[in-house]
Amino acid sequence: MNFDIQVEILKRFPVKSLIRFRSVCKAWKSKIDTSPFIADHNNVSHDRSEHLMIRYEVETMTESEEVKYVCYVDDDSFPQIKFAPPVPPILLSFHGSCIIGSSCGLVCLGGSVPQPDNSKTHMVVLWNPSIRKSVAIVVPNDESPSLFPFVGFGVCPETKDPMLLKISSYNDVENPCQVMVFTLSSREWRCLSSNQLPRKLLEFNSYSQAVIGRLLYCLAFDGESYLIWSFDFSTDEFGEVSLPDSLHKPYLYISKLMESLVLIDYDRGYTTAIQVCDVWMMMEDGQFTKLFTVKNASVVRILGFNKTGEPVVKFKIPADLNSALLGVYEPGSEHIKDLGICRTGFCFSMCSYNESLLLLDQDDGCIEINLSQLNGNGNIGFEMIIPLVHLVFAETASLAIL
Amino acid sequence: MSKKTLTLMSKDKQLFNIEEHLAVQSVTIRNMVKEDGASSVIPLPRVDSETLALVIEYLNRQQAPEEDEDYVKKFVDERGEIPTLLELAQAALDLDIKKLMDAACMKVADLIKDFTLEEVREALRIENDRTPEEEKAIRDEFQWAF
Repeated sequence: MNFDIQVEILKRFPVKSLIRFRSVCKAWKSKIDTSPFIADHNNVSHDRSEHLMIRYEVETMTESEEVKYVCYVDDDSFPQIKFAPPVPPILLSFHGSCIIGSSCGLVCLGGSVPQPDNSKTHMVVLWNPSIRKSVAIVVPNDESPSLFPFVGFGVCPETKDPMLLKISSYNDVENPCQVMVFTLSSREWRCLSSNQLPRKLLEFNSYSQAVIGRLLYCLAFDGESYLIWSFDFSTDEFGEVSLPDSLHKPYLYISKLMESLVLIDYDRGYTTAIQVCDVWMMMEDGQFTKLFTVKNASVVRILGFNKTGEPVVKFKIPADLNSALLGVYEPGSEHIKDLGICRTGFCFSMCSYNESLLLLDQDDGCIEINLSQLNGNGNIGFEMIIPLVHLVFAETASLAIL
Repeated sequence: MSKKTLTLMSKDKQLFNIEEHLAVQSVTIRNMVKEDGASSVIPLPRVDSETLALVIEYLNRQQAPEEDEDYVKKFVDERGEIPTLLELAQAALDLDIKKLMDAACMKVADLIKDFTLEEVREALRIENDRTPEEEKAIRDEFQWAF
């Protein structure tokens, strides 16, 4: 059999088969482990299974919170098949961890690791749950090191290179934002001019972002109003999304539904009618259309959407207002289907991911900032340090979540 | 308008006629026609007659574009034998008929994705070039997948 046809067949195997088939022969392993094949496999369209990952916390007997992750297979069977993904060990050491986003099969989580001198190291973990690999990356500190800076995450669709966008968390008129971009292929943070930002953006929110194609969409506050801005992973260009006037804006939340940008506009008691939020979708022409209004007052928050477009929500029941439940909301009937996740959970967040081979060519471990490699062109070099035994952890630090 | 006919010759020297406008769905044949007019017989030394008959059956399909995806899928589904599909996929790759190649490879991948390593090697006639110790070392990197 010619090798060229073997490669065409390899591209169409599911991820788990490929992980096993690395053992078929030397040529297969050499092929599967290369970056071009990993990228190609992500491009060739085939039946790649989608998953929803939900992160939540539960109280433990010792009064500290325990972080739990549960994944649902997001297909016609949803929500029948669920499992607990094996969590990268580094995540257990994070305090105040949170899902930042997901793209091309990778889930990005951020958190802070307390150091012996009471300082904090801000880190993100890129995690591919389908092949159980992860890479941790130290985020450079800025002038206000106690706050987790804004971090955006996405994978460049052309190169399949995972990228991080970091904007310093503390900005005012005198101190403009410091904007940096990290690419996994270079293992380096490089500076971008803050002049490229669409406006003098002052406050950013890491926990409301979505990647659609080559664009990262995020929320920010410029001192007067909220706006949605975008960052292009292929060109490093920023942009701004124009919003319909009818959006309330102060309680906007960004999400993604079937590869389209979705805005969730929370009412939060501004109008007397009992309604929770409006769900808007950006159409191909850039205009927003209201999809539906959530009127069921049990709904606290929409965490995201499943493959068929149903909102996955955090909700409360009148009989027990102390517990938060997770369910699927049906816009037509206003009915909420309980997903049956632990009733004492809180801090729910969610993302969806599909199966991919990304990170297969990476070693598990942590990419640290290596200050001795600071060079003249404003870039910061890194070196790999494995394992992570030197990181020490202390008291809890929680990140603000909507 | 009279339709021009091409003659294709398989590895085992069998001749097949096909209308030119249908044959040029193959990028390889289109380039040959462009280059020398292909007035004579086009030899396809890597494709046997059984496989070429299948390829011609596919090229002769009369499908509306919107039904084409389903047709290709059904076409390969009906030829569910792995050796036949492999020959078809190889011919479609050589002749550069993308949809047919896609569908045939997808079907093969679907059929063997849950095979054991030994079954995969047998189905695709691949030799195991590792010692048992080497194979175990590779497996151990992803023990959970086995």
